[in-house]
Amino acid sequence: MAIGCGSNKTSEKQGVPNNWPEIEQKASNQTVTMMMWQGDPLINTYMKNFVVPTVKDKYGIDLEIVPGQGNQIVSTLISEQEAGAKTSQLDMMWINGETFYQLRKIKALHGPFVDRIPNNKYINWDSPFIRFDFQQEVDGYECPWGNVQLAIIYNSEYVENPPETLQELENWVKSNPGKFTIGNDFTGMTLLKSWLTFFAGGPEKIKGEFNEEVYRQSSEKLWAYINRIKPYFWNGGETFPSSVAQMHQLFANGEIWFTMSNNDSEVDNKINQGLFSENSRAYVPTYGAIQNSHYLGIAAKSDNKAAAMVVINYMISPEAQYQKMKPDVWGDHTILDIDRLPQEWKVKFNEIPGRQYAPQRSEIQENALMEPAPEYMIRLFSDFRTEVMEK
Amino acid sequence: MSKKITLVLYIVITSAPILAGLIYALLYSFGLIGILSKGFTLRYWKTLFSSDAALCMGYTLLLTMASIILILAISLILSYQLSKRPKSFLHKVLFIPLTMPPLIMAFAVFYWMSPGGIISRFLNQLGILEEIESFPRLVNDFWGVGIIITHVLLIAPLFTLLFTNQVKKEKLMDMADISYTLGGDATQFFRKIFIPVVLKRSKHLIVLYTIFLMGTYEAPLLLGRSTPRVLTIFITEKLSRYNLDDIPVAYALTSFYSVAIMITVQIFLTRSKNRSWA
Amino acid sequence: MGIKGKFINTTSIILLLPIFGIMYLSFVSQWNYPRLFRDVWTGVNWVSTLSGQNNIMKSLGLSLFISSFVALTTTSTGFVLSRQLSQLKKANVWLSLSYFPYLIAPVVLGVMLQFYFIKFGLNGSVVGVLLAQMLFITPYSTIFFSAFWNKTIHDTVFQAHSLGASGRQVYWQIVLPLAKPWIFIGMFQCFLISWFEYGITQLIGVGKVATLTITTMQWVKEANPHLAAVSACLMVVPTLILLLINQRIFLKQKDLETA
Repeated sequence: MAIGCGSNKTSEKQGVPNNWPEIEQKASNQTVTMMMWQGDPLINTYMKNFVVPTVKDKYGIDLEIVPGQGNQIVSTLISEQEAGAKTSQLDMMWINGETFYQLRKIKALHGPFVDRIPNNKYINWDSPFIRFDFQQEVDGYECPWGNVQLAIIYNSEYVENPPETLQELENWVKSNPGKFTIGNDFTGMTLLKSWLTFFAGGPEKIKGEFNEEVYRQSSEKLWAYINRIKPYFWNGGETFPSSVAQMHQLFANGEIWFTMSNNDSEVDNKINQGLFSENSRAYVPTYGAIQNSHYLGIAAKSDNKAAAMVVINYMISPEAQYQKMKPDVWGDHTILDIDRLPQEWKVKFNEIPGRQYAPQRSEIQENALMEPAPEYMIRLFSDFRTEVMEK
Repeated sequence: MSKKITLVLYIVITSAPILAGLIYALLYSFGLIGILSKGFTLRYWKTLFSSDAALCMGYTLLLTMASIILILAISLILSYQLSKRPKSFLHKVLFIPLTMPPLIMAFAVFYWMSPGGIISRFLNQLGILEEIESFPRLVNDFWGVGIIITHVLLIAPLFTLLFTNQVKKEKLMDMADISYTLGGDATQFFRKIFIPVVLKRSKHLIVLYTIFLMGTYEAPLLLGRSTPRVLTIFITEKLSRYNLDDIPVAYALTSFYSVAIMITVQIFLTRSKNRSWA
Repeated sequence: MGIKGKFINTTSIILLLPIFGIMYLSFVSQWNYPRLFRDVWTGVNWVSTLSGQNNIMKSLGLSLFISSFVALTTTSTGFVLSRQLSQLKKANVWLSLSYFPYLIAPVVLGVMLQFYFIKFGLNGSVVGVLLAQMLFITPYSTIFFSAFWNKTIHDTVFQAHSLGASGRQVYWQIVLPLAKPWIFIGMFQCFLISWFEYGITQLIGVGKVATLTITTMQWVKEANPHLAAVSACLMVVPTLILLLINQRIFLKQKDLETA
């Protein structure tokens, strides 16, 4: 296993006991603050009604969830560092690649810790989509929590053959003005990364460390492409939705015919909730879609690291992962290697009802693209504003 | 309590935090402190006057002016009408918007006026609106219509109440009768006497609310566009961007805005008597 | 009824729309376009809130506590400070110091002070949020009461003193009774400013101090207008009730302000 092994000495210094029983003991009756994106009702419900009460019951830990996306996590921890705070307001957070990158850069993450939690043994480290976060080796500084692939959702009542290539998309958008848009958020940028990969000439070209030249050339083409079809976007391309929730609402209202989700099975739970019409379907176009994992990290200055580790260990336990993977709960794909689980869990995982409206994981796996290095995401975010929104 | 102690306490409460905050913002904006600090630089201040920050300042100013002019126009007409009908139902209703926080007002405006909102649904049910996209874009729109409407709903009722009270106190409507007997008509009275008198008496109030509107936050947060943005949104967004180079720019704008307010306060508020603020 | 009467009536209706809007939204669910209602009205949003299935009631309690505390402290501090200031020679110049913290956008004030709040370990705590709010509401209260300490009050106090009344007597028997309506309204105003606050509370509270405005915003961001509306109603209804019971508070306020 290529996870860095933390020396026990540093761990003791950081306020975490050496063995698991002691960690659990230290964790009981503590309060753990977790900052996470709270833009999805099902995810919030899963956390609030399942994870929070269970860790309270099992370990006596009060898990307090506060809302905040990756950039807010970064800015909160930076401000704390600048002010020389001794302890952090945050103990653990839900992070993605670009946040991981920034937090590593400013040394705001505790670790390596992943190899110290018992359920680590079930994690599917063989999958590159789990072991690498935006091309970065996770090194035990963050623990995988779920694995998703971007899927485009469309209303099959109006869109019979969803565009499979960027050329087809361009034609479609031009002949159906006002019905397509991109969110100016994580999900939107994830879509743009797959387009960027296409303009770069394929996944091989964009692999590895950030390459300014590759970015410059491929992003030029990307902005030219978007600006060409932008006038046919929703609202004339004058403004872009700022969150997935807003995209979904526009989609539910019929204002747009496409929305997208970083969770490939989301269309099922949105239909089950009655938010999307039953004609909604999800697909992955042939040019591919980014597959990535989301992770859990511990703040370097948390004074509750032991308790945070216990919570994380629970969140990646077969029980919590199974619950999370059910389509009507969240539908988030597990990061565990099911083959390695005890028999009873193997059976349970295999019995999770299939997706009705979303494509099966096995079908879209071959179109899965790796996340490019985090700088691509950061640059796309700021350049999308200057090159597209402000033009 | 001795006067000196009170005065010291007063300064500690009102000025010390601001000063400390301003110093921090200035140091940060010149690259002297902060996580990426590499020593003194004017780079961030230059960005402030050349980039989207300039656009943001202009936009904030325009939005504020549009709001305050509309607020004044509506409040003047309403207070004139109300002064003629002191017992009207409106008198009671005017208080209701005063119980609503800006955030809630913006929320209500959004759900009334967005294409998927209540008005659009009504029109659709009545068969007037065929397709959702035919509904005009009144929120998250370029002209800030939703934001301006929220501002008007929040402030015009208060202005109307205060203006009406001015009118009562100054016995302005008695002057209307005099002006009629002298051969003037209602429009003349309204334009030549009513508006100038009320505006003059409310100068202070208008300045205060203009400054408030420059710092509007909740309404554009819900009803604004991704670009252009108002000042407060610009600052908070730049502070939490992955591009850490944006942080000093946010502090530069913070410093600029704070100093601008200090100057405005000195020019408009210190010399005049403090009175009809609300 | 002439055109003007219609104008007034239309305005009245428009002013009622926002509040009707949030009440309506709190009683519907599964609000798919272009439906105005799904089947019938539903009380489900209210039931889940009142039975504590979400965080709204907790936020209501927290907001009540924070705003009451802020109102009490800022009103008393402002009252005392403004009195002392009014006796100074350049009272107006001193008072102008109060305008700045009061007029600057609270969220920007928070941006400027965040560093110090973290430094002193006050971020993410109720104490920090209380302090942050007091930083701009105390100046407001000082400005408010400075209008009370006008010449007439000072003359009355001076007269009482010359007639042999003690400082304490003057304060309790003359000044306070005169100030009672002012204090009442001042406190109400300070309560409302705190009650309405979003920006600085979010920034200094790191989202951990979930007042009602913070909670409302959270539901808005989750695109759940119905729970957001319940939360919004809970913000508006208390002030509205106070208004219905005693419209005098507001009417009186006008008298004072234009006094």
